[in-house]
Amino acid sequence: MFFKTKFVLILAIFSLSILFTGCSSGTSGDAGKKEEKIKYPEKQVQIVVPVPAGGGDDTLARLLAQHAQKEFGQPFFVMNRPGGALTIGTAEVAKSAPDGYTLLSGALDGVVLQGFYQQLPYKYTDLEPIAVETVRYMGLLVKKGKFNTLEDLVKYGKENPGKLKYGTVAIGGLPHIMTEEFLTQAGVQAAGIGFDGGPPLVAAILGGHIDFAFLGAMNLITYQKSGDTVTLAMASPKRLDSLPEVPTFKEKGYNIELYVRSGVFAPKGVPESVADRLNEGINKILKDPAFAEKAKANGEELTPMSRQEFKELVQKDYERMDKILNDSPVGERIKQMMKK
Amino acid sequence: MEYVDNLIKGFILVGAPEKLIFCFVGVFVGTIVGVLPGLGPVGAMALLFPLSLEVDPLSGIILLAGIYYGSMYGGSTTSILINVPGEATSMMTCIDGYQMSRKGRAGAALAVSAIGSLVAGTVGVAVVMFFAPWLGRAALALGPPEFFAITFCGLVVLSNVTGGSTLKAFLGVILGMMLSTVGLDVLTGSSRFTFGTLELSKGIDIVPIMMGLFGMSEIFSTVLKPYSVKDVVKVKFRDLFPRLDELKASVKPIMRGTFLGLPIGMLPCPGAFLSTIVSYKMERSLSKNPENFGKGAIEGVAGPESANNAASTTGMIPLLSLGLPFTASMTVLLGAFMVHGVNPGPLFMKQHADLYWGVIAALYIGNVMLLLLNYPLVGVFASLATVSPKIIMPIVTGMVFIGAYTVNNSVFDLWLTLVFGLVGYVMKEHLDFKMPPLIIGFILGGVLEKSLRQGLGMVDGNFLVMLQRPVTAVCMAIAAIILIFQILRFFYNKSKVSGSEGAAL
Repeated sequence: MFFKTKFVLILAIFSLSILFTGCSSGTSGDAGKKEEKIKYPEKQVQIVVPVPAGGGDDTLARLLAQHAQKEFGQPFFVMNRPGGALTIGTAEVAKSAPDGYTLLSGALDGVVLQGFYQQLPYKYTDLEPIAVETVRYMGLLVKKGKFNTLEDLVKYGKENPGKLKYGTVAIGGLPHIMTEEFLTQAGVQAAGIGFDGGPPLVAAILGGHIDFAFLGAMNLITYQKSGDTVTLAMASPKRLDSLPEVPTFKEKGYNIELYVRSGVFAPKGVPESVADRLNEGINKILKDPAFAEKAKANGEELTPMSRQEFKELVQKDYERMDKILNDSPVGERIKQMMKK
Repeated sequence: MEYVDNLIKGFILVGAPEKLIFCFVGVFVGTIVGVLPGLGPVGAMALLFPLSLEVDPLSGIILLAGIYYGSMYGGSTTSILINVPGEATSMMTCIDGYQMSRKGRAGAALAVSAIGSLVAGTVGVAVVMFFAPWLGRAALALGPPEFFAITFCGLVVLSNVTGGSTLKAFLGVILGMMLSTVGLDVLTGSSRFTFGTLELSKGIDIVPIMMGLFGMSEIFSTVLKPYSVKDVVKVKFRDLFPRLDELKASVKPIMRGTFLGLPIGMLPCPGAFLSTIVSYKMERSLSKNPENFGKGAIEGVAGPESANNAASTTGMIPLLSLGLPFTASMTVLLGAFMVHGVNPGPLFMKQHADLYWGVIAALYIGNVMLLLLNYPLVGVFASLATVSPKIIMPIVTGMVFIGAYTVNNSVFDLWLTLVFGLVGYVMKEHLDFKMPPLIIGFILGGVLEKSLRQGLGMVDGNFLVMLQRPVTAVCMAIAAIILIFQILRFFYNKSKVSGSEGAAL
């Protein structure tokens, strides 16, 4: 009897303490309002990450949070709010109090791109760009064997319209748009298949189930080194140090630049002083060799920028997306694929 | 004998006290996480991620990996004690495990589950150790058409896994499949069944559904019909551990479960989940007393738990051999590798041999630690079953809600849990619907639909071309045969019942 009661007591205390832990770990979008403070930061800061735990952006955000703790003196912690193609997490931050204690860390896609496809409870202007984190370049990947150069692929594609199959993560996402852009410029017809993540896409390439795909630098490097795949071209301004033998699309005569940029945002209306302090702190972290070493292992290129530059970048991206999606045949195709 | 050399080196690395401590912390946290319903290894791994960054790569990885398979051990505890699955993979354990608990055999169920997990886990690590590179590559040959065929076959074969009316089982499966379509579609990005809300566009998570259907419905049942503690057979100390005949009966199911779980775990589909269902079905079909299943047959606990552990262990193969994480937990592990500057790709074994073999050694050690942790706790946990429902149910309610909340930090999920609780209650008490088919339909249905459309995309919409692939053809054939057989049997039974009117086929 004593044994049993004691255990139930322990279990009860344990469950309650879990409850309290949950209460103390900062706020979520549905919690109460936070007070405005002049000095910053005075308590823990929450970074919302719109992808599930473990992905590239998530790892980056956690690394940043760890270093931010040292830089700002207050705990920064990551909360995953995945779903809706980056929109759920983005919406939450857009709607939260603009006091600098709720931030978003993720790819620009969620901010500038998704608004074209869905009815969103926010506009891209509802988020204040704070600092850029990284840029991730992508390239065209094929399984080793059938195609050795970009020309081979294009030639095959022209001679066999519709036979080539490409894969993409997230239909409608930036890589997808750029894939279609490439196909249009090359004059090749290929069918696209959506996958719900990088790993299934890579598995499909390695297994020979699809012909090609645009993937991020890290995947390209890993599988090229192991001899499984060949990167036919990189969509970067110049050749990557880690893949010096891979030509850029520019060299081959295509006007393709595909990069996924990740940055930190705050809700619009965040005080200027807070935003500036964050920008300064984050840029310092990006330049810290300890951080850079770990982040670069992911294949990321760190690109610290000023707030003004970042803001202009977001605006330019938005206008670029607008033009492609509303004004060009590529946009038509994408929208058609999505309505299907 | 290179393997033995490398393994010994691995053990030496892991033998350092600090590594062992991390291993222990990992499996301990993992067990707790597994016991708490709803809170899964992913959440705990993400929480401890910063800790793993502060230490050297091997310790960090051991810590996170320990959480991962520790949770596989712990998941069965709540299934057996309170009929709430700790994870989807523990769902099948609920069926017979909870009944055993009601009969006072909770200890036996828990103990057998722990033993089976150890056996399966160890065999699994051995398979990983010897065959990871080849198995990883072999699994690549399976693409979307194969996944479609496998899940289709699985749905047909397994929908009626818990017996009872086939019709109701299929209805449950279809309902589950319908639920799985809610949200943003992978292939076209269009919103389905979201009613315009952002919350629904991320789809419905399995956890609120399970917490609701199993947990809340059980709570509602107990509230309306409380079981008196006297109804539960008094647990004597002897009863905390399995009888000899129970142990003997478990041996074959554990073996079968292990060997079932090993291959299924490697595939990029919900391998561990699928393997538990297949194992349960297999045990039921092979048993000499199938009517015991659902009432507390120890085979129904031993088999699925072993399959679960085996599959979870081989689930690491795609990550370790190719660098591809196919489940959320593996993705977090991948993140941990990457921030330490290690890139687990096909060259991982060669480039970071120390790390690789250290992880393998830690897996062995961790499994043993888990048995040592769990076995003594069996007595403690088993005595929980004798606690009066007045105390237990509120705690369970709290745990269920905490579990449902931690998935996405969303209050919406809590409402979902409540709704599914009501649905589950009605299903159970008034409609005689069983729960597992719905969950099966939900989990497999998502994979099924996605794979079908991806596969069709690969062959320009020509389904027949998909059937030309060997694995696909075989699976579809099996499914077709079984479907036809079931339909024929339905009509045969009907004609038997309608007497000598002779309206057979």
